Order: sequence, then C-alpha cells, then structure tokens
Amino acid sequence: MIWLLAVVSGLATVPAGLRWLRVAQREHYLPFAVATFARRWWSSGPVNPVLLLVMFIGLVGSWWSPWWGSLVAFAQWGPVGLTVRGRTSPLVWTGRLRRVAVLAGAMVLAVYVAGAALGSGFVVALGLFLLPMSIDLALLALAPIERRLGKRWVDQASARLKTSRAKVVAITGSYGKTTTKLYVAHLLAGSFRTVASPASFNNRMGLARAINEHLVPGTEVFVAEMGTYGPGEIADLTTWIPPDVSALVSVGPVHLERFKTEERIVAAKAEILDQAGAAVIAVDHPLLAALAAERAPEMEVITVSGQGSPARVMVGDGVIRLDGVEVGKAPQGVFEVNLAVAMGIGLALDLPLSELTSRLDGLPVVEHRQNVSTSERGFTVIDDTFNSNPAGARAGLRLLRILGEGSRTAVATPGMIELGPVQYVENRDFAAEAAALVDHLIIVGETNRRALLDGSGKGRASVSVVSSREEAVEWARENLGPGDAVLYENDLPDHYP
Amino acid sequence: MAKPAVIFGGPSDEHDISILTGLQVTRALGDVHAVYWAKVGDWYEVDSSLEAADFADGVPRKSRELTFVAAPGQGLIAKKRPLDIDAVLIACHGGPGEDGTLQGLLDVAGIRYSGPGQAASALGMDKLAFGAAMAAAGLPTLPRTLVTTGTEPAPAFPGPFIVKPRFGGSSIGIEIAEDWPTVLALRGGSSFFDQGAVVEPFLTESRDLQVAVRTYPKWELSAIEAPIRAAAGGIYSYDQKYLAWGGEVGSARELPAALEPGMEEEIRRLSARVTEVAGLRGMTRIDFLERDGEIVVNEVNTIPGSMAAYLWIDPPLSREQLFGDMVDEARSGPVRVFSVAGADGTALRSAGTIASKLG
Repeated sequence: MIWLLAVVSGLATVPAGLRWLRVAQREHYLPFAVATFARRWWSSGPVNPVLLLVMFIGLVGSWWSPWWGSLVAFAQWGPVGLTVRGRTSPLVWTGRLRRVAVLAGAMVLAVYVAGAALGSGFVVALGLFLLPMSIDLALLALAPIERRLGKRWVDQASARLKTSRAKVVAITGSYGKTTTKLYVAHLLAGSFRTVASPASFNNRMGLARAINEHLVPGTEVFVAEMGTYGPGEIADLTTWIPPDVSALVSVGPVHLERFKTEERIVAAKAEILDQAGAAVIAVDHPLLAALAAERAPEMEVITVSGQGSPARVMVGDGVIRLDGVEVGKAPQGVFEVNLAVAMGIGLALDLPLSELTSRLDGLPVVEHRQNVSTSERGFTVIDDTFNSNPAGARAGLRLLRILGEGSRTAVATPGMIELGPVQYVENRDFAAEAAALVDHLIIVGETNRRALLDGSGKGRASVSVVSSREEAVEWARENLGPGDAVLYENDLPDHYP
Repeated sequence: MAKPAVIFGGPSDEHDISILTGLQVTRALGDVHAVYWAKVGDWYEVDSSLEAADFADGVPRKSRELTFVAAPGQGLIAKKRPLDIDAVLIACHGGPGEDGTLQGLLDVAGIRYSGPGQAASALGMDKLAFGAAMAAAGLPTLPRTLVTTGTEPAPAFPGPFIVKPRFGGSSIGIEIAEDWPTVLALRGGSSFFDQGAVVEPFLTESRDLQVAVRTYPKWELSAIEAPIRAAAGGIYSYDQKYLAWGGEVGSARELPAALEPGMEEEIRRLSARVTEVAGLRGMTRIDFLERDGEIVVNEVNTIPGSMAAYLWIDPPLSREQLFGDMVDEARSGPVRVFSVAGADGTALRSAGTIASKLG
C-alpha cells in the first residue's frame, strides 16, 4: 500500500516538477523563486486555494493512513493556469535545466523511497508537497557548480574581448536599458563598427555568450547591457568586461523584492562606475544626482536629463541641449532620457556633436514600448507591453490622454511586477491614477488584481476583470470604436497567475 | 569512413545567406559533415537536419565544437581527433570563405576543396584586380577606377556612375551616382567603402546576363539568365536577390534569356576565356552586361548563391548531381601543391653564421 503511494506520488511529480522547473528557468534559476511562485499560484483564482486545502487535508491525513496521501498527488493537477508547456515561455531543455531536474528529482525520489521504507505515508506526502522547495534547494546547491561550469565561457569571452580591443560601453538602470542600448548602437554605427548585446543577455552567462557568439572580428565598440539581481554582480561583470564608458539610466522600484531599498539598488548599479573611464549619469532621480556629484571629482562624469533636471545634456520639449545650448531637435516619440544618455555616451567617446546629431533621424523604435497603431475597428492602440515600470506606465497614461482626447479611453493591464514590498502600493496608485483619467480599466489576470481593484475604487472609470490578455483584446474590440483609444500596459509571461 | 564536409557561414556580411546555401547543399548530398563557421569565427559540426531558423539566434543547440588546425593531417578537429574528411564543399558567400582565406587555410591543412583555389578566389573578390586582369587579357570590360581617399579627380569616362565596394561578392553597398561629387560623398558616408570603392560607368539602357560555368566532369555552360531589375534604371539589389523573394530561386528573372543571334556563342567564348584568365574551378557564375548587342564582362561570383544550381535547366541537372560533381572534383586533386624544389639545404650549408649576415 505504502509503496503504491510512493509510485503514485512519483508519477504526479513528473508534470508538477516540469511546471516548477519552467518557473525556475523563467526566473533565471534564482534560488527561492520557485517557492515564491508556488505561494502565488496556490493562492490565486477560485480553484487553486481549494486544491491547496485538499493537499493540506491529504498531508495531515497521511499521518494515519497512506490513502490520504493520494490527495496530495491528486492536487498536483493544479495549480490551474500554470501549464507544463507554456504559451509565452515554453520549457527549454538546456544542460542547466537538466542538472536541476536530475538533482531535484533524485532528492524527492529519495524521500519517497525513504518514506515507503519507513512505512510513513506522511514522509512520502510531505516530499511531494514540498516539491517546489526541493527545486529551490537544488538551485541553491547547484549555483556554485554552475558558476564553475560557466567559467570556461567567461574566460573565453574575456580573452576575446581583450583581443578585439573593442571599447566597452556598459549600460545599467532599473529600466530603459534596452532602449538606451538601441539608441547608442544607432548613434555610434556611423563612426564605429558597433555590436550591442542582445536584449536578454544581460547577466554573466548571457554577456559571455553575447561576446563569444556576436563580437565579430573588427568590432570597435561593444555595448553591453548589464542587469543585476544583487550586490556584487555588476562589480563582477566589470572585472572581465571593463567599461570605457559606463551609463546609469534610471533607478526605480524594480527588483525591490530582492534589494529592499532604492539606496541599495543605486549602490549595486553604481558598481558599474568603479572600473570605468567615464560615466554618463541620468540625474532625474535625486539618488543618481547625488551619485553624479559624488563621483565627479574622481572621474569624467557627463550628467544627462530627460525631465528637466539641470544637466550637461538635456532632452525635453522636442529639443536637445548641450551645456544649455540647443544643438538639435529630438525626434517625435523619442524616449527623452534614453536619448540623453545615448548622446552623453557619444560625447564620452569623443564623437563630434555633428556626427551624433546627423544620426538622429532613424533612431530605432523599440518594440512594445508605446508603439501606436490603429486597430481594424478604427480605435487607437498603444502597445506598451514590454516590462512595465511605474514611470513608464505613467508616461503611457499621458500618451493615452493625448491620443484619446475627446473620446473614450481604456487601459488594460495586469499591473507591474518585481516591485517587492511596494508592489501593492505602486499598482494601487497606478490604478487610482488611471481610474481618475480614463473611462475604462480592464484588469488582466490575478497577480495584481487586488491592488488594482483597490486603487480603482474611487475613480470614474468602469472596471472590468478578465483572466487573460486575449480577453482584454476581445473586450476592446467589442466596446471601442473609431476615435477611441486603448493602452495595453504591460504583459506578464504565463508563469505568472 | 571518410565523408565530404560542407562548410557554410563564416564572418561575412553574407553569413546568413551562406547558411541557406549550406543547408541546401547538405540536404542534397545526404551523408556529410555539416560544418558551421560562426559569425565570430568559431567552428562547429551541426546536425545536417537543422533548419535555417535554428541559426537565427546564433549557434544552434547541441552543436559540436571543432577547432581548425592548419597543419598537414589535421584540419577540423573534434575532441582531439580530426574529422575524417575526404573533401570539403565550400558554401560560404563573401568574406574569408570566398576570398581565398579559407582556401589557403585548407591548402595548408592538406584538405581538398571545391571551387577555385586561393589566388583565383582572391582575384574574383577584388573587383579592381579582376577588371584589370580581364582588360589585360583583351576581354571586353568596362573601365574601372579606384576611389579610396574620396579626393580623387573625376575619371576619363562620364557619369552616371555605379559605385561598388572594391571587395565583396553580393550587391550589398552598391550605389548609383549621377556625378563625381556624389561618388566622393558616398565614399565617406558608407562603411561598405572602408576598403575602397570601384567606380565604373553606369549603363542605363543595359541588361544583366548571367551564366554559370562548371569545370567538372568537363567544362560546361549553363542556360543564360537575365535577372529583372527592380525599377527602370535601378540595379539588381541584395534584397531583391535574397530577401523578398525567398532565395535566388524565386527572384524575378528571364530564364533562359531571350538573346539575339550570335549572343549565346559570344557569351560561351567569353566565359571560356574568363575561366582560363581568372583560373576558375568548380561552379562559378559569370555576370555580363549587354547593351545594343554589345557584351562586356562585368564580374565573377566564385561561390554564387544556391551555387547557381537553378541555372542548369538544359539539359536539366539535379542538385544531387551538381553538388555531387563538385565533391568529386574536389576529391580528384588539390588546387595547389606547394613546391619545395630548390630547398635542398645547399644554400643553408654554404651560408656561414647569421652573425656574419648581420654585419
């Protein structure tokens, strides 16, 4: 009997394990991410909490009889909504995922066998119940091994970067890194053979791969986007990707769940300056303004701004100013602070101003960043679904107000993520602002539903709740007509509830 | 057992297109080593059943790393053991895979390969040298002049001009200029002209005629095609050639081209001479320009897109046949044999000390 439970649990482990492995992969194999998402998923929707309760009952009951333990296995049918295959983010069997799967699998299997051998249904059931934690444990245990395995690629990349003698431009920030990188690459392309790291390649292994596979012979400037999930990470990157010019684009409450305070975010991002010859800092945030002032005596610091803060390069109201003098027009729809940083980087590389301004036409458009189009039904669509943050979401709202002037406006959003302790407040405040300004607010999914509902309570907007982006799009098709406008603010990958 | 290898990709502007050609050849030949030369220059053996999209984000998953050792008996090494290769079919367009660099490397490693050798490959890639060789051999060709600094005086021939990168196989970077100042401005404004540009008269009322020749099992000429230009007076562009039409096979063209009496014989005669003067081997495409019945040699493409296989319609030759013949030609012997005759030690024995030479 007890062995039967072990076998059933083992079978239930396969689909459940694949689900949580997918979460681990999407969350960059960060230990404890799986448990966090497990908590989120089991408490979302009407069905999952019931399944969680069933699991609890089964777990407790398994003290007395292994039969109860089968309830835990049964509940692995959920969490409903988190699929094995994934729509936006399918599981990819990389070597790393295999190692995690094998170790975590071996761990739970050992627990099942031990439980069955001891005759304890409870141990078997607990093993299955704690599956997400086992995967976290495997991630934790494998982290140093992965680091060592990755060293070979890092060493190769480091050697290649050195041989190429390419200048390195390193860009970090809480948001706007990708846009800035694209702008920089475009502004420099007329003067240097420039290679930019691909969008998602902004950590140690990603940058190693970017260099090993994309830094073609003859590259003169390598533009590296550097992300960080913790202190020391960027400092480590700059030891083998030493920047000639480092840029800090923005600071905001992104990844706050890992950093806790904005000061700590700034400290982690400021590591990018330590090895650099010159710095470009967007001083629109007071913490970054303070950082720029602090570093100015020891290195070349070019201050830039996209929101009117006093700085060497200022972009705003359609005009680019250098040291207070107008030097060019900012193209329409450009992201001001990102352009300001890109111009600053060009100047730090000693490019003539005329060379930079001559390339302003044809700045690339970043996909899913305030992309405006008209739907078949004649209403305006603002696609702002790429990685939302509070500042960007507000800018999206402003654009919606302009484009939807005099007609009906709607916002469809699942809210913003990775904001840690301020996630509730930021989403609530955004919903409050949106509800005060627009006619309809469509809340997508469950991740931020409560915060968005709480925020929208006092506004004038009618509020609808839908479970997926497709439903939100359907809503817009049915309810909006020519002249109306809808803002799609953010889109969450499907490993979020 | 020894198998042929197909090398494709390479650090070239035409890296992506070369993958398309390489996969076509790999698929047609069947049992081969598919060797991918990555953008940054790394070597990999890949699964020959891969699709083009598998390369879109870089090196495909599960690729096997290779190293290239340029020494006799070595070549492409997988985990310390050389791949057992009897010949290489080179499917690289542009850059070091077509300009003689790879050919020279294979010569040093003692590996036999398809197509022309290092010197003919380099000549085919250098539009200035190729034009000069044609002119020196008395073949009809357009006057060409070199622009490097952007300060050159106008040439003896009048505009409009066609400006091309001096090195490079495809239509990438080609521009048309009405007058000389425009040519000089183009030189400064395009990174494609970093290594110099060749300028020649742009024949407005002309048409392109292209033909493939192969040198094995015997010298043969394919059908003659006339690619159709995008717009009146425009040139046949890279986009038109590859992107918008899904490969060369789908491009707009007249095949076989309608020719006036005697033209085909003239093209056959010129092609034979070009083969001889340039030292062509394997399957090459030769491009001519024709205006009012007058035919001039324009350029050669020693590794044409899709290997120009679509031109062999009369008699029809299958891809398997064409690529198989290329492999057989490669197997049949090296293009180049190094000679050490005269290096018998005599000069060394009678040389005395190096110190005495320095004095």
